[in-house]
Amino acid sequence: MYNKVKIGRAELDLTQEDLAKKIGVSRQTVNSIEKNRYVPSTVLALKISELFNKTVNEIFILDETD
Amino acid sequence: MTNNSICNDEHNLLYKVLNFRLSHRFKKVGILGAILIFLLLISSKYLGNNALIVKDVLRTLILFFLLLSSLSKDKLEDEYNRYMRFQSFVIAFVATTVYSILIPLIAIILDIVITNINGDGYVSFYEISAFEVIFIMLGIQLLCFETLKRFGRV
Repeated sequence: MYNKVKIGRAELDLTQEDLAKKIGVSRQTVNSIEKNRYVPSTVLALKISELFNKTVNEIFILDETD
Repeated sequence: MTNNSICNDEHNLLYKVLNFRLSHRFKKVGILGAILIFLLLISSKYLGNNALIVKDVLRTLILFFLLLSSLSKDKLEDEYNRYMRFQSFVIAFVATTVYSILIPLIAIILDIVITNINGDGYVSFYEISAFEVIFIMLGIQLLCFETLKRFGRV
């Protein structure tokens, strides 16, 4: 699975720290999600999608290995 | 009380226990306390205080302080932190189990080699103490957790 969190964050002109504060996690968590090291929980994915005003499917995309 | 409500109560209690964490300040208290007691343990050996009870009390206190640190929250506790903590406990458990299997085995092999060289024919079994196992487990858990946090890799 890969994600478009970095793109969504750039569209809103947010830093990792800003996004982290808005969704209530640490900057390291945002960094790990962006680098596909960590797959967030459904709750966190929904929080990100709500902030980006997109659906979860638009931000988190399954690839052929999933 | 119905079976369903008993199950729900047990489920809630289990989750309360699983999610139990101490305040962040216990992290530093735990580490500092463990280092202090460790130094006391070493110095008591050199000061000639070899009473077994003192050694046992100090060892128990080290484990207590390490546990305090292990169970304390981070400044910002989120799901990624919880995941890394879980990973560190798994690594610590597996590493300590491997250690507990390998060390006596290595000790026996070395003993056989040495006794064969000496020719006295006596092979002893190296027993790992509970303190050693728990100390190593908590130590590995704390080190792994800090390393995972630093490198952000899970």
